Amino acid sequence: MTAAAPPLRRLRRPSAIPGFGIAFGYTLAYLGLIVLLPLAALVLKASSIGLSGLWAAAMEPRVLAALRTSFGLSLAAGIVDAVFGLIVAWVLVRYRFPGRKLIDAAVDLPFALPTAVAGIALAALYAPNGWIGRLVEPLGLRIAFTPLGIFIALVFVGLPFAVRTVEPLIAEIDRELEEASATLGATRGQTLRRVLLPPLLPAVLTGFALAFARAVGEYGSVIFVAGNMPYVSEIAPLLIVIKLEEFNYAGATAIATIMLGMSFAALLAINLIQAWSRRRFGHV
Amino acid sequence: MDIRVAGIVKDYDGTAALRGVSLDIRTGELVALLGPSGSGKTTLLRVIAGLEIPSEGHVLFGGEDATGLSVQQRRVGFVFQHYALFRHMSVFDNVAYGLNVRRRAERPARDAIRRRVLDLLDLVQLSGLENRYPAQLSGGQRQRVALARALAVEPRVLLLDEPFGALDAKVRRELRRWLRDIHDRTGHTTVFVTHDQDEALELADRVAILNDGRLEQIGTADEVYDHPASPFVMSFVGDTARLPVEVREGRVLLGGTALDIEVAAADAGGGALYLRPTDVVLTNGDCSGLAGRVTSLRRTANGRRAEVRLDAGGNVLEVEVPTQRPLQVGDRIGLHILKARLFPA
Repeated sequence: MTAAAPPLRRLRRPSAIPGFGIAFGYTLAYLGLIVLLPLAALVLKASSIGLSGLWAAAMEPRVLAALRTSFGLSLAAGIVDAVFGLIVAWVLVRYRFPGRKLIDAAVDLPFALPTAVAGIALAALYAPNGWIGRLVEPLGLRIAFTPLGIFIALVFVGLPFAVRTVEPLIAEIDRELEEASATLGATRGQTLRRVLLPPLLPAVLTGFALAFARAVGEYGSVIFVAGNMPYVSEIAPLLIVIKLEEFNYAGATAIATIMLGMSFAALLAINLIQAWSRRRFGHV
Repeated sequence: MDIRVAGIVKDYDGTAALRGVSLDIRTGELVALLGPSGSGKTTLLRVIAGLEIPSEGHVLFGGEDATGLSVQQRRVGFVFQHYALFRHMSVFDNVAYGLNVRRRAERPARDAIRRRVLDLLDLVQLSGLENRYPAQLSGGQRQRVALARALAVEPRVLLLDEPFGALDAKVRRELRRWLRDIHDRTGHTTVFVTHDQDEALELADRVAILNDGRLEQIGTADEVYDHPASPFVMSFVGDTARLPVEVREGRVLLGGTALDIEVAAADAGGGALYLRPTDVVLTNGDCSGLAGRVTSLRRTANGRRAEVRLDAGGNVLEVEVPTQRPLQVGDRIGLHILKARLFPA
């Protein structure tokens, strides 16, 4: 190697673990072909109607309502999944009880189940004549075919993300930390709040981000249980399909582009919060 | 505060970790619990702390039964081998933790806490590092933070579980001296666990030697070194050679040859002679008594160690040899035993 290395060489430092070049090249090619290319095509297609056209499509009341439904309920579902997922993961890691392996396997079912099946099952359960729907009907509560039904479906599909991201961290918690906290006089609650939970926060946020992202894009399970009433229980992905069926490709790509932008902004924000919380709590 | 441990038995699902240990620790004393791994020394420390509940027996602090008290109520300072610092808290917050979690009525004011934490960091020689995080400290520094954290709550007794086990030899020696110093200044009753006999003998006022869940002996370094209560203690606190011997008419016989030593209260019959490499010296060429052939030579810090295969019985004995004395592998040498302990077989 000559002393006056060309600028590109600076990326290549001698290393005990070689393979940076090929790994980085593969990463870029993969990301470009599989992720960025289709998204670029989407943005390109949407740009055919121009910025003003995009704005007009977004400001359509029905689109606004659908976006609000999608992002609002996804946010709520993500939060519930983060909290519930933490508890489920805690129980699975910390306690030994009969049937633990079964519950452990059941957590992943939303991953594997075709989402349409999940939607139909949920609709059957929560419909006014379903097992659960029949119980809450006298209370004046309707779940299926309302936004509440969508919310439940979104919680269902997002849960495994929240559980699986925090599980390894809970498993790594050193027992001695709890003992140290106890010898210093802390109650169980204080130990949980001050010692155990803060280091878990970055992982909880990751789980939340994944569950939220999954919920925003969810289609199959929602449409069966949502009732799909425009302005009330219609999600943005469904509206895209509707536009497509009307051969309104520009309209469909417009909504898709807006969703893409909002999702990207939301995930970026969560990533920044995570980076901050890692700095704050993650001194490993 | 004095500690009394009375008849502690601890079973883990049928396997006994402690089989009836009783122990008195005086106020202000520094006691080491010494033993090989699996001897129950850490379990005993954890029982004193309240981190393990004994199957039987009592723990008393200052004459008061503490067996039923929870960890929180016992007010002990506990230092863990791997520090167990809270990684997401700064050094300051780690040390202040025990004070911050107190009930409002018992919690000192903010600046009182601040003063106390800074004083403690001064005591453990970490002034100026209060804003660092544990990950930014060396192992020795982390252990000192852990000690400051334990001292912050004004514990009645200080318990340390292999406090220097994870540190390298040089830092260990420094921290040892420093811990002794802190103990002398603060006057806490202190119990620490170690498997390193040098550490125990050098640091502690008294050493409690445990083996297989039982207390073998408790005493000062002199007592356990010069008057070991059992063959186990003898061989655990230093290098020891064991020679199977026979005792007849007050004389000790090794492979039929009488040894030139006096043994107090020797019972007739079989026994084993325990001696240290420094208890044997080379004669000036006289091989008429105990003699053997040098099979290997090793340099040590203070001299040389010779392994000698004895003519009588064929046992191998380690002998400390001064460096001035010319000696080679294969030489025949005579030995003289200065001191030995006889235990019945």
